[in-house]
Amino acid sequence: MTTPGAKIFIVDDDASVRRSLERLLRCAGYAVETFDTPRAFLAIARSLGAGCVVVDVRMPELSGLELQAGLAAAGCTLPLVFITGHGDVTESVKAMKGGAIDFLLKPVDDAQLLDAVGRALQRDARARATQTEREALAARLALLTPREREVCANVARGLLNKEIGFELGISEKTVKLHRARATEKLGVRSAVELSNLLAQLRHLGTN
Amino acid sequence: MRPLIRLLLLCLTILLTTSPRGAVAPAASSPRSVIVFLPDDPTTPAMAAVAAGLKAAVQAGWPGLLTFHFESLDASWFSSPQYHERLRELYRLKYRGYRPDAIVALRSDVVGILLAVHRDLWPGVPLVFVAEDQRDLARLPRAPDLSGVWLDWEVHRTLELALQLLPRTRRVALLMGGSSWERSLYPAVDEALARFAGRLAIIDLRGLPLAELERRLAALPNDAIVFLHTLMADGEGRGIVGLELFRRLRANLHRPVFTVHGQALGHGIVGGAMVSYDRLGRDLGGMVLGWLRGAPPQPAVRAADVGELAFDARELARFRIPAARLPRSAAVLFREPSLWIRYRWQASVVLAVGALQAVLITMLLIEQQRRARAQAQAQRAELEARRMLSELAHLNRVAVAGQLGSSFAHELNQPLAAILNNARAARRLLDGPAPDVTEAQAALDDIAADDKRAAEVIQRMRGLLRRSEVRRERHDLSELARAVVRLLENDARLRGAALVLEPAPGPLPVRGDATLLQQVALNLITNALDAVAAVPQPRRRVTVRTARDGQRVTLLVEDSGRGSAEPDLERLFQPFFTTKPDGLGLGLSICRSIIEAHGGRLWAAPAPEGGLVMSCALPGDSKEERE
Repeated sequence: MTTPGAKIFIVDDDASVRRSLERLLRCAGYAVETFDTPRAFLAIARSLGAGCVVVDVRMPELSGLELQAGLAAAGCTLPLVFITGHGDVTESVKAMKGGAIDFLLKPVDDAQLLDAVGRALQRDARARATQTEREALAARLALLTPREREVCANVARGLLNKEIGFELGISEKTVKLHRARATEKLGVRSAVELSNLLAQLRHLGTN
Repeated sequence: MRPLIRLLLLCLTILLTTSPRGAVAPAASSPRSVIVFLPDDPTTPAMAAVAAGLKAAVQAGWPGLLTFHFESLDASWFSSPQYHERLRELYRLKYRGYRPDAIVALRSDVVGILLAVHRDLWPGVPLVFVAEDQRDLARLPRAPDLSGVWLDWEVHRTLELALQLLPRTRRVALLMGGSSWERSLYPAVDEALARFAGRLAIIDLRGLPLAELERRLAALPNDAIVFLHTLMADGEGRGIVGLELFRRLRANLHRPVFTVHGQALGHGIVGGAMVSYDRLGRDLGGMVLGWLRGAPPQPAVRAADVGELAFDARELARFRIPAARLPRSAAVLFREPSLWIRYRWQASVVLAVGALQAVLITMLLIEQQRRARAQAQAQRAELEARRMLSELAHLNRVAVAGQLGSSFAHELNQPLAAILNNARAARRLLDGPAPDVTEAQAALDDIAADDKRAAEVIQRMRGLLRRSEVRRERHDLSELARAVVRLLENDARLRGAALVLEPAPGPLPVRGDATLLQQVALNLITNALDAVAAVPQPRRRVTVRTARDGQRVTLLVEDSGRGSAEPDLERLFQPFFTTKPDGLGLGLSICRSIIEAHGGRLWAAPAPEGGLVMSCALPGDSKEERE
């Protein structure tokens, strides 16, 4: 499961390494874009589409880890595959904590690299799918009035209409009306479905 | 005292006033003449000596004018009575009316011929004669105007001397001419020899033809000596000039020769009791002078005062005759002066120079030895120092290599990674149903290029770690610097520093060890890279410059760091002075040792932009044009 149009962004200061990685990934069927400095890549990070980043840990100006932080700060969620000349545990732990897909030792085995890249792209695709879903839900949620949202939230908590009415200081009849409109707007048929949806939304990090 | 002086003055006065010159002065006014009758060739040594001695003696004593007439009778070679008669006629004709003041006649036969002429032409004119034998005097008339001497050829004494000098002598060879005059002398010789009967055998070579004479002389036995008398004619009556002939005979004659004729001495004669013909001439001259002065010699006839024992030192040496055997009165002539005496001055100089040279040579040898020893010591010390320096330099390089290790690993990993990637890619490119050969070829080309790159990295690393002997080769300082800059480029990049090389235009020839010189550059540049880490990234800059400065070439490493906290920059070069937490503090001190070993100088100065500038000046290799 990869996103159509996904690209692999290679950031490496070494021209021949860059070129060889590009060649390898291209012949594995990937679209590749290369950057010779981390800064050049960071500059356009916000506008990047789907894909993943293959980056050398050790680069002048900015290290791979610094690039990772920079990307996060810029809100770029592209997964990173690190390549390093020496297995520095501290560095690798940091990278993995920062969400790196893998921390590969140079010279990199092509199968490992392609596997890592594949996983990265999957994760990116998954992330992108979740994002799409969440955005759709959020969009539907945005259709509710504040009172309908309050009613839904209480429904999700498992309260009865009467209890919700008491809670909100409105009549049971009004609660029913809000609830009917909300379920219609959100496209759910039962209180269970509604409750699931809201739980999902909460999970995606949006209230 | 005073009477003595008066006496001396008196004597002096008498001497001055009664000089003979004053006494004869009136007689000297008219010229006097002397006729000298010589028996033989007046140029033969004996005749010439007599004539010259005579003339010199008369001239020396006679203040007035003197005329000498010399008549040679050739009496040895022409002796017929007719010839003698004609001679007399000639003289009567020639000297008619001429009255000499004295007549001198040499040799008995000449006197015999002349007596009649004298009686006819010059009665009263003094005749001074020489007779060769006392016995001849008996035949001479007694007359007041006759005076003379007789010669004593001391044959007997000469042979006695010969035996004294050469006691092993058993034979004597008689060498004598065969002219009629000479034959007339044989009896006297025989008489003298008779005394040696039983002691000496006689080899009688008298009057032999020349050829036989030569042969017989050459064949003389070893116990023989030769007695040379006169040589006026050979056995066949041929006239010969004695000494010239003798010189010829002497060439093949290997026995010692003795004689009684003084003039032969010096021509290969050992010696003998000699007649000195010069003294004979002077003796005669004295008699003539007496007659001229009106004081006839007294006694009128006596033995000539001419004998002397004379020897030739060269001949004595030739026959190994010790000087001790010579009579004390003997005169040794022709003493070969020793080399020392003959070349005393030159020899002194030569010896002095030689001695001086010897001293000099000895001194030089000692000096050379000392110098060689010192040189060997210095060489050992230098070798040791070089080895130490080399060792230290190597350790320092190892340390630097360690510091650069991760940089090197990274640098080496890059091409290796690229190679692997390209290899895998090529494999994939060729694997599929539609192989992309073009791209695969590109991948392979890249592999080759990266492989080379990897090899270069290893090469550089190895160059750094090489433990080599200190060499002195010609290098271009800019090239050395360039290689180091290349070595450190990656490290600099990883440190976020700009490493810039600004080489001088054209080569900068320098003589030295490339590894060591590069190590200096390596140290200076890594120090500079360390220094710039203290400033923010955009300002991290290390500039490496090479330049020519007159006869010297310089390498400058300037950094944009914060400079030294140590105000005394010289301290940087002290061993174990370091500002780095893990530094040994040896780098700069080693660098300075290396540069000084190359005859150069290394110092630090503040850089204009705040950092440090390390300057290293080396003597340029001036032989660039010829190489």
